[in-house]
Amino acid sequence: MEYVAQQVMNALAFGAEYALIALGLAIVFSIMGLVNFAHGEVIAVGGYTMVAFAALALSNPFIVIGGAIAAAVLMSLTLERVAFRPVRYADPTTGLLTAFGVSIILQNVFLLVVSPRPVAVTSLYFLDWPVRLMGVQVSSLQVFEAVTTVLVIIGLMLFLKRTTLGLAMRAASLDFEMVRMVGVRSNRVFAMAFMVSGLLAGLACIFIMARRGSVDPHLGFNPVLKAFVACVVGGFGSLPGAVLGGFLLGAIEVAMLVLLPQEYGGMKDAFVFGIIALVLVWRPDGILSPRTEKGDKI
Amino acid sequence: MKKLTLTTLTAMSLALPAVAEDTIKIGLGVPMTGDLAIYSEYLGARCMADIINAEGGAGGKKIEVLVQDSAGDTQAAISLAQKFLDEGVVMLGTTPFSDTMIPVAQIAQPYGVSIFQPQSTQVEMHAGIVDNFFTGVSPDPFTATAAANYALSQGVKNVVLLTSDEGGSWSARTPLWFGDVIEEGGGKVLAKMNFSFGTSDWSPQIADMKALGEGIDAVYISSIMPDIGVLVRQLRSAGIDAWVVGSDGFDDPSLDAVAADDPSILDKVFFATLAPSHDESAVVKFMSDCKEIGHDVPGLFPATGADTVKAVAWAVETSGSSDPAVIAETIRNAESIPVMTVDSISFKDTKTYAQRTIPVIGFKDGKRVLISNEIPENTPQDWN
Repeated sequence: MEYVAQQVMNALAFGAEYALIALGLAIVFSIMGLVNFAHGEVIAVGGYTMVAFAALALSNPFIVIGGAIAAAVLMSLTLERVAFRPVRYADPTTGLLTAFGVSIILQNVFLLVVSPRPVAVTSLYFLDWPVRLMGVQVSSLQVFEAVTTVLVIIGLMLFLKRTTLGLAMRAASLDFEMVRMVGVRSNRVFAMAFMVSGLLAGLACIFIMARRGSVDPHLGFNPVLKAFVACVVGGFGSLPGAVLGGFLLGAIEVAMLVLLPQEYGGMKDAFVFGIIALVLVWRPDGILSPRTEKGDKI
Repeated sequence: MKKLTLTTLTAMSLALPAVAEDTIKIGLGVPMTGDLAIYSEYLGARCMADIINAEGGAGGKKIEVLVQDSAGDTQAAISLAQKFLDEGVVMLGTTPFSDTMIPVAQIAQPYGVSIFQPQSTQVEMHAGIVDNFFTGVSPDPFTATAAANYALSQGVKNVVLLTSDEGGSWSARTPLWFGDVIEEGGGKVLAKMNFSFGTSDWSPQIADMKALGEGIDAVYISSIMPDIGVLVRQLRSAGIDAWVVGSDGFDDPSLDAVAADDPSILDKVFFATLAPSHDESAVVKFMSDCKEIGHDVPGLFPATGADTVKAVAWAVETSGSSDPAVIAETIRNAESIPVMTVDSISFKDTKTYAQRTIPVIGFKDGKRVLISNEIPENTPQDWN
């Protein structure tokens, strides 16, 4: 029984990380219709900021965490201004290609300017220690990550439902032209979406770095691919869908990892994506994409 | 004036082949970017070429290392190999994985040119598909055996093997060879578990280990950093004090950083690797020498390129020939070839891989120490 509880906690922790990243993708997609594959590099910018702080002998955890999140937010806003604003009204394929282009360019910048090798940053190791929770031993990091994801979801819901800018973002996700016609500044709405996305990338970066203890040019790319899958399963553009997709993907991954016999271990991803495909056969637009009101993303 | 220029150009073009003959070219179409860049040997190769050239070259001929980025892409590596062959290289290097090395070796064969991979340990290359191939290190079964022998000497009995198909035989079969030697030595494989590259949370596997209900003496994995560092920390955090044992994937400076705050965390970690790379080793001295002449060679894998250049230079001097087929035969038939990473290697009995000692590296107070350095004699035979 303890073993099952342990693996359930592990699945929740995997899911929390995917959900956090998936939310960052979903919020931009819901407003702009852009799948921002450069989100992973925004996470990596946070990691490299920690490297810079370590080089400057700045080890205060609040400075390191605050600096990494600030750098991710700044990078996200910069990408919106420099790369995505010029293609805002272009065909969605152009946006997709731009995102891939930005991702590749940033990866190569990290590679050429810093190093292709993992660069160690151990300043966040202190966040990880064993904790007993309801008779199950878990990592404090897993608890922090799950709690942060829940808080982020609550905070995001409050922001979107209780603030004027949040209301504008929700309206923009339904009918952007109408939002502009009633006098809402489109630049501000887009910038806010990227700012929130950058904030989520920064938070994800903290947990990834605390666990891995190093950064490399591809730090965020694979997690973002997983988060993309989570978004698709949950219903792309739907924030609750992104969260649900993240937790579902985490649960399926852990289940396949522990249930598949060792000789079928190489087929883990095949089984994971096979199950995902079955979910999409059942709900082709994702689980939480409403059939009747496709435009309502939030 | 125009006539003079044309005459000059004609004279220069006629002179080019003569210049080419005085130069021994080695072509490295290797990943300089992408995930595989850290395994590239080109930085060490360039440095060693400069060192040899400064000492008068190989048999009076200058060594020239041609380097271009394959980005780990097989088709790009094949195209680069063809380009280098047309430029008259005597030896090639490419992406160190069999799916690239085999086709590159096949197109190099009609030219009499061989591939020299100073860091490839995959067994697939020694299955007889191609014979114009050298790897400067011993294949994975040897490293697995060296690690298992040391584990047995430390009283290890019960082991858990972590395997993955993602790195070919390196990550899928090396743990099994380790398990074979452990069982031959009276130990027991408690469980085999799966993992994926890029794992940043080992909690599911660790929960499985705890559920075994038996004391685990060692966990073996052939994987890469930073995954290994995460595994070590999470195992300790979960109260599992087993040895963590591995292969050359552990041989990255970022593993040492895991012990930055608590050196004891690496006390029960060791790995068998390509060459000694502790403080007093030839590799560290080479990296230091390179730095002095303006080359940054960051770690063992980049440094291994020195072996390619040194072996080719030795073959040119010994044979007195710049013919690629003669150079290859000289290397293959030699009793002893001096290289940088170890004193010498030989292909005489093995044909395609170097017979050499396998260093086992451990940690003391967070610093690397050489534990043993021998040619294991009890290597499993089911790999070739």
